[in-house]
Amino acid sequence: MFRRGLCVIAAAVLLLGSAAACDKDSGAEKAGTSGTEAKAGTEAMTEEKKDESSVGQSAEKAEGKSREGEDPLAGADLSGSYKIDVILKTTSSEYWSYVVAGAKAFEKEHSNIKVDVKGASSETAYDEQQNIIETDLNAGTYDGYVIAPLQADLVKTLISGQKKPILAVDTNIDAPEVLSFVGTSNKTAAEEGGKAAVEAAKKAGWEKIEAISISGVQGDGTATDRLKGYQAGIESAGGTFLEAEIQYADAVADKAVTSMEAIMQNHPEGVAIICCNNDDMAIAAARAAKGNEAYKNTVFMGFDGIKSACDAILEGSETMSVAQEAYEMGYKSVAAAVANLNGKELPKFINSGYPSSPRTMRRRGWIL
Amino acid sequence: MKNKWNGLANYIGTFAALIILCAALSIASPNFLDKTNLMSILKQTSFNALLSTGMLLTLITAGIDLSVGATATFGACVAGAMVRLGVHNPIVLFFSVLAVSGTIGLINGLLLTRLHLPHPFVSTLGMKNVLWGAALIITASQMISFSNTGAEGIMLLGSATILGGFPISFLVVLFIYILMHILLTRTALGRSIYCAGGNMEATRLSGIHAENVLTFCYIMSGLMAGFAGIVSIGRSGICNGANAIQPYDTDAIAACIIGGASFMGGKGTMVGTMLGALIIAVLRNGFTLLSVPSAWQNLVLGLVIIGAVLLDVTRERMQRNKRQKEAGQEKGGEKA
Repeated sequence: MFRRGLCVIAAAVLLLGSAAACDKDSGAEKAGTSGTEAKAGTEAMTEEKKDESSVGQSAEKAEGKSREGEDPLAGADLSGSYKIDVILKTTSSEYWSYVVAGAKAFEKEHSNIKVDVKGASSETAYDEQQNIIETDLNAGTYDGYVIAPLQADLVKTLISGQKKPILAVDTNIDAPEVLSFVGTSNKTAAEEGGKAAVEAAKKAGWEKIEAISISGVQGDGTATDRLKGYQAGIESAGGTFLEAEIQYADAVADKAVTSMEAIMQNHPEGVAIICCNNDDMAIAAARAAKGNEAYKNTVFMGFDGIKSACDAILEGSETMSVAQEAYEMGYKSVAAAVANLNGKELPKFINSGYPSSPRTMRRRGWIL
Repeated sequence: MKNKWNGLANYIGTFAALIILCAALSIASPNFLDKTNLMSILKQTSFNALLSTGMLLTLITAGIDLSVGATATFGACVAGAMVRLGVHNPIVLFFSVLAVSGTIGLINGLLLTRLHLPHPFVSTLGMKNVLWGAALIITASQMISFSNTGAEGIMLLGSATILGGFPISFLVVLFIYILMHILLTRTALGRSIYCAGGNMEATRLSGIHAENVLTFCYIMSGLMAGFAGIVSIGRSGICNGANAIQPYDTDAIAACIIGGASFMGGKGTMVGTMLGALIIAVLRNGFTLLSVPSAWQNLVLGLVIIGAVLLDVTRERMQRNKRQKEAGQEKGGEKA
């Protein structure tokens, strides 16, 4: 059990948002496990708030409006009989299965609330999600909607003029119909990961800190946000992000191996940081570099902080992962929708926290 | 003898394209001709070359197998699920994956030959979705890592090297390609496969059990995809059901088509397919070395496929015209 708990802490290269919600007592974990460095802290988050004006993205703007040290749903009325529609990017991945679990946990705890969770078959099935949203909005059988948009601009058009409460989860939708954004932004999360990776690389003995990203599907919004975030974080921490050498590996482990082989070919001297679009790719890239002395101390950073990534970090095959609190996103977004239906005014941003909270670990069965 | 030279002439264009591509990339990237990189290309070729083997057999019979990529992913996920259940013996895992993938191929074949689905496009497309869902179900939509599970043996096929870096996976590919070449060119079964693709009715009338021949091709396609799945485990160290929807099938089709296969059936060779698979791997490897965005990679690969087919069609038309001209001259001579 201790192993499980430790791995969560190690994987959780935090998140941002209003530092706030993140309990200062438990925060600022620092753990070192087989070259693993994980950092979560209020300092970084406060910094992020200072920088909010320069970020300029709607998601970050929304985050800035969140108030420190306050749970926006504390004391909210969660009674009543409502039907909430949760439309996710997909339900076919470990990360999204945590969001599903969170939403369903709320339903289980509140027998009067019915939660339907849907999702496209993959994170590139844009048409499929569009059809789901159109159908459900037109059906009129739901009292509130929670949407994780695959293409935020497209969803903005779809929900235009809707009167029922709509919340964005995981990825923000910059539309007046959206009452609140529950989650963290990929860009800011990756930025914090980038900063932490530079620190980890320094500790691993790298003097020249260069970073190459093995990205996901070229043109995909999530991949772009993570890429930009990594770049901003690494550069702000004093590293060099080799923008001209970005590798697009379609978010697949197999292609990440091919990209890593090319990186090793181009940089026989080694690269300090390899930041990947997800954990699958980070594990695969690290495996491809195994045995190459020049890459012995390279920081392989993934994204999502899924359970298998935590195991990989403990085994030393992945160095660190940018973790988002998927379970809380699911739970809090449904709770917020119900609270709003009962008259509660919601802030523009609800922080879903980061996965070091003992409550979450207990819920997942990672600690007793 | 004349036929043999004609056959070689068919490869010369593809082979020349591969050489020109390598020459251009070696100029553009000083690291391209590095031994380690060349070995990487062979590693990267293995997965697609295995999928292409099965795809070629189905294309020769004028069919198609759109489920090869999903079968490979599902096979890898079967191994992952078994590891989770505590099965760590690599031999058991290896044969389980092959048994499962062979069975998938058998089902594809039976859907076509015994249940008479109109075209394998339909059945294998359906199977691709079935396998995608099944892969996610058996892994509970989670990525499974094989490292430090006690089942590392299963990763040897995709990761081990000999003779200073030569990948075992490519050796296996070469062995399979030689066997398949012999099967297709030196055995009655091989000729039956070409026959079935050329003219199904004539095949049936000549006493060949065409249905069994077709079923055999789909079983082989499944088995080869299973091999590819095991190679993928070795390369990445993980399996993930979500990858079943990746367009691995189109890369396999592209390798076959570049190598001279046709959707009309009756055409295609193992040598050509290997050249096609190598061209795709070299293209992707070279572009990756040069950090060319994937949008350009896809664009160029698309143009290569179109160019290869165009070249093939033009060559065939010229040969047909030449034959007709020769026949006309012979007829004229007889009359005179």
